[in-house]
Amino acid sequence: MSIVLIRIDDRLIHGQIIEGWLKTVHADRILIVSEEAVHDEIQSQLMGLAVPENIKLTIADVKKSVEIINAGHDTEERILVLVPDIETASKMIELKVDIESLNLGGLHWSQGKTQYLKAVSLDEKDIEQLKEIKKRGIEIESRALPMDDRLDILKFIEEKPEKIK
Amino acid sequence: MIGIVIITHGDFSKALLETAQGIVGKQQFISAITISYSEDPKSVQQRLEKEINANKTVDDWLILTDMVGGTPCNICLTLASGKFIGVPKIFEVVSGVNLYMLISAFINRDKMPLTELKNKIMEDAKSSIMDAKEKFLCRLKKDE
Repeated sequence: MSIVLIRIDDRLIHGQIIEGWLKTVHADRILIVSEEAVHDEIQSQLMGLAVPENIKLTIADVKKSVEIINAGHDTEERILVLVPDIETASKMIELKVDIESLNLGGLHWSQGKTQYLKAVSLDEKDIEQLKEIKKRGIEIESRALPMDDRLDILKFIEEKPEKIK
Repeated sequence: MIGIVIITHGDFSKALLETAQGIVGKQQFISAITISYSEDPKSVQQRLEKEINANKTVDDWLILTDMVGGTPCNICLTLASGKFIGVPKIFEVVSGVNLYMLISAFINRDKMPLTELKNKIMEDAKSSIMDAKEKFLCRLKKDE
């Protein structure tokens, strides 16, 4: 099994994933790492509806997801991993999910967050967590779609600390 | 009267509504909801609920959205699944909205009940997709 993309995106499965990413990274399976989604019948059925029939969909919590990834090392499966927040990504990395790069796709704006990109709003805690991940030698790149430029979001924030709206 | 809401990615819904009204004339009980990537889907859902609840005279709603699996459609389906709190309303949710579909909805909304209208606009939208050049060339040949 190889992770063809691991992406932080609080919308989990949506148009950009199905039409933009899935067709570029040629994944066989989408893994949703969200305990909330595991217990949310409507959300999980919605995701099932969105995924093309030839693509497998798994929705699991962090622990189970890490097991699935690490158990499948000897298979040929290409897997696209979606996590709803930075914390979930951190937890997965702590539980020894081996990745070289992490895609920051979308985190919507809410009170207390600063909007840095069209689809990326972060608070200080988020930025600290991203820095921790980077310290482990993992690239953090922000892109909405595969053809976009890979933006080093932490460098971008350092250079433009003021609010960008 | 059947209320109509168009909800799509970006400003598509707004432009579609303006264009369709430009072709068949101004409409009542119609709104276009746009979604930006920085917005929380939950707040979009609240906007949709508000739009529908604000209208006390309309109980039947036709919701037109762009693509299954996209955030706008997910929001509509969450609403239609019964999580919706408020006055009882009846919904149909149709994806793949295009100009023909919307115009068909405008023309037929007074003529039939909601379920029939839903079927009618899906048919009209499907039959609007054709090989236009091929069709045109066939006509030219017939005239020769």
